[in-house]
Amino acid sequence: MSNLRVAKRYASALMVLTGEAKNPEAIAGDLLDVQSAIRSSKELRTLLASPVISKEKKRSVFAEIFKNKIGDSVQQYLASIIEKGRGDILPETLVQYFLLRDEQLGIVSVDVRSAIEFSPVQEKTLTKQLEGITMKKVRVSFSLDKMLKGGFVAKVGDTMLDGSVRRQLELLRSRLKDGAEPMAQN
Amino acid sequence: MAEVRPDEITAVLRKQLSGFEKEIDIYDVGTVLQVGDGIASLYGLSKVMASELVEFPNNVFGMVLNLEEDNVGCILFGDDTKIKEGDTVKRTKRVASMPVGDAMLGRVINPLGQPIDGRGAIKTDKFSPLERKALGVIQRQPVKQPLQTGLKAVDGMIPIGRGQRELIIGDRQTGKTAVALDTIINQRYTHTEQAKKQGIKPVYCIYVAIGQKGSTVAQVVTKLEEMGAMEYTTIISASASDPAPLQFIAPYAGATLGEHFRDSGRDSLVVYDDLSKHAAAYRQVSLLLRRPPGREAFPGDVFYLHSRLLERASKLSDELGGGSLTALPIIETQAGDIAAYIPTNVISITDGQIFLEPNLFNSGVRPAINVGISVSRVGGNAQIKGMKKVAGRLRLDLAQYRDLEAFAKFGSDLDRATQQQLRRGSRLVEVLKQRQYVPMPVEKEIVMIHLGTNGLLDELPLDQVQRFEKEFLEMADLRHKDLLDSVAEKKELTDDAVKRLHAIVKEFIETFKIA
Repeated sequence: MSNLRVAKRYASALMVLTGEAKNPEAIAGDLLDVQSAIRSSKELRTLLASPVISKEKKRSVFAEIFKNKIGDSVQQYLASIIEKGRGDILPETLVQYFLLRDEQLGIVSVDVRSAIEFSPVQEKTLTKQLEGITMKKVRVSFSLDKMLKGGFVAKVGDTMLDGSVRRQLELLRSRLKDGAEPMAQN
Repeated sequence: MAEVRPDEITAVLRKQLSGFEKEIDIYDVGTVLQVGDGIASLYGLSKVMASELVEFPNNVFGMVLNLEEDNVGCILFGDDTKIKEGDTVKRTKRVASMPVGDAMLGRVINPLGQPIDGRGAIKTDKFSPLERKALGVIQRQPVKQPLQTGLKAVDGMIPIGRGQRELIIGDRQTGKTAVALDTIINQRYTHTEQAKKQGIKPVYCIYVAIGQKGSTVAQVVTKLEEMGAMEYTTIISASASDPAPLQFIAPYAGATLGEHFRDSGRDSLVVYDDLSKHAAAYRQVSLLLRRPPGREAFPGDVFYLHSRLLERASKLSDELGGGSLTALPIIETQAGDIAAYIPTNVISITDGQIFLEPNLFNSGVRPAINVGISVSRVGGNAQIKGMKKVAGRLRLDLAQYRDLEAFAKFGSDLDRATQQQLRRGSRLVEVLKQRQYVPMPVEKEIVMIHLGTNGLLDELPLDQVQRFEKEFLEMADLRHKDLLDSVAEKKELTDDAVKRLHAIVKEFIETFKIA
C-alpha cells in the first residue's frame, strides 16, 4: 500500500522529466519498452524485487539489456531508481506514470465487458458515446464476460455504467423482496 | 391469513416489473485490498464521503472512517469472513443511518435498527443519520423539569432534570446499572393518567448495552418486562460478541432514537451502559485503522467521541416543541480511579456525576452513593418546590454527620449536641437506603426525607428505620392517600400538610412495635 504512494512520487518526477524533454513522445515510448520488457520476463521482475542482488549488479544488468535501445535520460532514470534502492517499485511506478500521462493528455481508459462480442460497428458507436459522456478521449479495452448474461458493463475510473442483465435481475430481486414485505405482515 | 387473489398478484408483479427495462445503472465501485478484524481497506472509491455507508457482497455494509491518499479505511457492520480480497464495493451515497419510529418501543434491536428479539420486522417509515450535529444555543432552553429517578438519595441531593447529562460512575459491582434501571422503571408513572393530570409528560426510555454479556442484557429485558417498563422502552444491544464497529456506533444509535422522541416534542431518556467499553471498542477500530495512539492507547479524538455524543442531550425551546433528551452515561472505573483518562473526560463533559463506592455498597448503604463528591450542576433548578425545601436540610445534616462520623466510636464521651447530630445523621443514612427495583413516588420521598430531617425518626432504633418506613408508607397509602395526593398535586408540603403529617406520625409511632 505504501509502495503505491512512493510509486506515485517517482512517477510524478518522471512526468516532470518528460515535460522538460525536447521529445516527450520518445521518452514515453522508451518507458513503454521498459514496461513490456519487465512484463514479459519473470526473471527481470525477480531481479528487481530481490534484496540479495546488489545495486551495482542490477544497474549493470539494466544497462546491458537496454544499451542502445532507449534514450539516455530514461537510462539515467533507471540507474537512479535502482541506486535509491527502489527497484522493487519500478513496475508500479511505470503503471502510475502511464496513468498520470493519460490524465495529462486527457485520455480515459475504459474497461468494457460484454456478454456477447461486439461487432466493429458497435464498438465504434460505443466509443463515440463514451467520449460524449466523459468529454475526453477514451481508450477502450473490450472483453467477454458470460456471467453478465446479457448487455454490457463499462468501467470509467471508479464509476460503473452497468447495463447488464445480471444487474437488472439483482435490482429486480431486491425490488420484489422489498415489495413483498408489507404483504407478508398482513 | 387473508386470501390472495391471482389478479392482485399480477398487478403487483406488473408494478414491480415495470421498471425492468431501465437504462444503464450508474454506481461507483472500489475493490477490497485487505480485510479482517472488523475493518477493511479499499482501493478506488475516489469520490466516497467520510462516514458514508458502502455495500460489500453478501449484504455486508460498512462505514467509511479513513480517507487516505491511496486507500479508504472502513469499518464493517457484518461478518468480515464473508468478504475477501478483491471483492467489489459499492457506494450507497447515504451516510450511516437507522430506522426510527414509535414501533421501536418494547423491542430489542441492534445498532442498525434491526430487531434481535425474534418478534418480526419493525414497521417504521423514517430513517435518521446515526451521527447528527448537536443542536445550537438558539434551539435550546435551560433544564427546568424534573426527571424523577425514584431514588431518595438521587432525587433529594443530586436531582436530574429533563435534558441533563448525568454520569453514573463507579467500580464494578457497585450498582451502576441498578440506578439506571430503577430510573427507567420509575418512568412508568409518567405514562399514567394521574401523571397526565398533574401535567407530567411521559418519558420514553432507551437502554443502550455496549459490550455487555448477552446474559446480562437478557436479564435486563426480563426485569423490565416484569416491571411493565418495556412498553415505553427500547433496548439497543451490541453485546461483547458483536464486532467492535457495532459497539462503536451503538450509543449514536441510541441518541438517534432518543432524538426522534425529542424532536416530536416528547421527553426521552437514554442510558449508555457503558462508555468505558465504548471507548475500548473505538480504540480497537482506531488502532486497526492505523490511527496514532495517545494516552492509554486511545486515539486523539476520544474526547470528541464522547462530547459529540453527550452534546446531543438537550431540552428544546418551546418553539420547537419543548421535547428533551436526557442522557445517563455510565462509566466503570478500575479500583476507584476516577483520574484515569476516560473517566476524567466524561466527568468534564457531563452536568454532574453520581459516584458509587464499593465500601459503602459492602457496608449495606445501597444505593452506594457517595453524596460528598456526587453533584448535579443543573438539576437543582428542576427540583419541585417541596423537594427543594426538605433536601436543603438533608444536605446540611449529612455533611455535618460526615464531619463527626470519625468521633462516633467515642459514644457517650461526646456532648449532647454532637450526639444528637450523630443520631440524626445515622437515621438519615438509613432513610436514604433503598432496595433495588422499588423506586418511590416523589411525594413519598418528600414525606420520608421530611420525617428524617425533622427528627421524627430520631427516637427509633437504627435497625428499625427501614421497617418503619415500609410500614408507615403502607399505612399512609391505605388511610391517608389524600394527603400524599395533595403533596403530589401541589408539589410541596404545605404548613397544613406538615401539621397533619406530624400528628399521623405521632399516632403511628405509638402503635409501632419495636421487635
